[in-house]
Amino acid sequence: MFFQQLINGLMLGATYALVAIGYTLIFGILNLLHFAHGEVFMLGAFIGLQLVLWTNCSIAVALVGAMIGAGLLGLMIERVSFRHVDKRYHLAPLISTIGVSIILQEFGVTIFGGDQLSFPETIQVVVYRFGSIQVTSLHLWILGTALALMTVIHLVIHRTKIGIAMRVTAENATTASLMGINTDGVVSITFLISSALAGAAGVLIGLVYHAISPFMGTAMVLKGFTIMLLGGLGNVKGAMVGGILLGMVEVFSVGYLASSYKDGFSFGIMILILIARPTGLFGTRLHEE
Amino acid sequence: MRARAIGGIMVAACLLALLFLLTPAQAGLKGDAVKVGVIVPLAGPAVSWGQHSLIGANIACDEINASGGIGGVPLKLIVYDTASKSDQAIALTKKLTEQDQVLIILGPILSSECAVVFPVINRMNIVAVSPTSAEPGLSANNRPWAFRNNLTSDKTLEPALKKWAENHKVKKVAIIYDSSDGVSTGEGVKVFPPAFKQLGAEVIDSITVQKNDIDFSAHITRLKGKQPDGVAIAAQAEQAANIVREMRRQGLNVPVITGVECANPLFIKTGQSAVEGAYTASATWADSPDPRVKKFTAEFMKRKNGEKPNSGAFKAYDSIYIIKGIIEKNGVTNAPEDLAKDRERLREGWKALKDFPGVSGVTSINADGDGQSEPTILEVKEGRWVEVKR
Repeated sequence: MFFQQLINGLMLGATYALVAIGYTLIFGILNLLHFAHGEVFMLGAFIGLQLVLWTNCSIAVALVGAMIGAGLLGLMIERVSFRHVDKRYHLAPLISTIGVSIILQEFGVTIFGGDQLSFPETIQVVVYRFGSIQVTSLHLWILGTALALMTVIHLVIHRTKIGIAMRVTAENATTASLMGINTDGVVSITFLISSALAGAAGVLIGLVYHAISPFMGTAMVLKGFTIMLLGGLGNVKGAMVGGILLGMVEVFSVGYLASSYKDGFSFGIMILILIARPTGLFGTRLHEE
Repeated sequence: MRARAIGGIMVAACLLALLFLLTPAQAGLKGDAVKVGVIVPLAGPAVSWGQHSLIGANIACDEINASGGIGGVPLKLIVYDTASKSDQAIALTKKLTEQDQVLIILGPILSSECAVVFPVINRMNIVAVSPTSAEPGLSANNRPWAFRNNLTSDKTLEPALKKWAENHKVKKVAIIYDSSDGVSTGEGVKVFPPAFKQLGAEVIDSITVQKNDIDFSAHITRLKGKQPDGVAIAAQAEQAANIVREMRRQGLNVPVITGVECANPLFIKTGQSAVEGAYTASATWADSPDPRVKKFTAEFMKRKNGEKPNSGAFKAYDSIYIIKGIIEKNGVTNAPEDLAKDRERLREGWKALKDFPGVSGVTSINADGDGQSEPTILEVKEGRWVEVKR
């Protein structure tokens, strides 16, 4: 049972990590806690679901479609509620995203209703069994996608010109724009990438858990925040490791301790880590104002 | 002579006309509407109970108004949405009682909401009747104004648990329940364990989930390790169905029995083939051959895209008719100055309710303020809830 729980923890953690990566990216580059990220994730799941329902396509197509849709949604959010908010008021952008999250959630309820929906059973899921341990192809998809996306993001940020632009804007947006970088463009690209990631996460999690509902985003955002603190604010590698760590803690507290306290354990571990390493496991990206 | 005869006839005619005008037409009510408050959750995990109950109440209301209303005055339902939030439920209850000045409140739906609303209505001297709440003890603790036109979960589940344990020879059972939901916790802690003990089955593990949990891999792996021959799940329909799906996915193919919150077509819609064979119990049964049930079910399905009604719909429909009956029999006047007295009359009427023949069966209210009727044992067979004969 131990190894099965280990696998459960890994898979659950990978799903958390997917959401957390996008969340931490926005925080790292824009110094913004994007509360509506959970709703982008939720709408990504619905976009994927509607694509499958209308055109009977495969998971891959639904995934790509959801990423595009969520990316566009992210751009719209950036344009409407972030760009023209005065950044001198520290909390203003944050509150603006809270507003967007409420609007998007109500929008989801009005259009899709409050029930939990799931992808049609026609999508093939293969179950691999090794002795008493069991892994499904969906879980492998999630793990693989999370790793692939993390690698891609890492390469983009550290090896491309856009990546340099993003990192410079993160350090000091004013200087960056004085040096000729299109900081508005960088902000848009950041939203685009993170939202696309969230959309992909939405489809994959919707496939695994059959619980696509307009309320699925809220819980995810709280966990995303925890993982961000755990792994280091703005640190993509930290989000990946933090996500898996959180998944493991939750699974093991259910498996071996009292399941009622699983959230207590998760936050307890977070507190312990922050006491030991206040900048998170992999260090925080520092910001100058 | 002639003039006097005509005069006499005219006076007689006037007197007759006056007589007609003065006689009250069938105890006619005052006011321009009989106001009944309805508080239901139209968002959140229990939304299907709220929606179905509301439709059931609306069907009754439309039927009553089509045949002339109550005492010649139309029935009006004032509906508020609690969004499954207990603080909203309290605020809306106060609004209905003080601002809208309703005679009686239908609702709340969730046991968690009843737990906080019942003390409030008990203080404000207005009756609240829940058509769905099933957690034991809630009305008993809030006498005399709190009522539930529903069986408590222990009474509904007792015969089902017995049949399930016997049919499937369950000796070691595991319990999973939602600790953030009133009725589920009541079942997981107060109903299942003593019932199993009485049936000679050992409870080998009892674990909890929370309302918004979607991942159950760890829970099922843990249960698999303990090797139960049956699992009892107390959670709202969608979550319970997903728990069963995870069980089947991990190869834990033992029999399942659920709490009363799953006696709901949504359970089967979410669980699909995984929940085949699961047992539950319900105070009502949509596929009953009784012609009134058939008529009601057909009307309900028209209003809800072919979905079958859960017990909330039946009970809400019956509750509206019960309210109408009490208003007519107990001399409710609906005059604004009689509001307090009218509310008391409704309370007395509900208290004395005996053998009301409704679409949800024959109902009486017991000394605890809870409904009494015969529950149905249900099993999922070929994608539908089917009755299991005792």
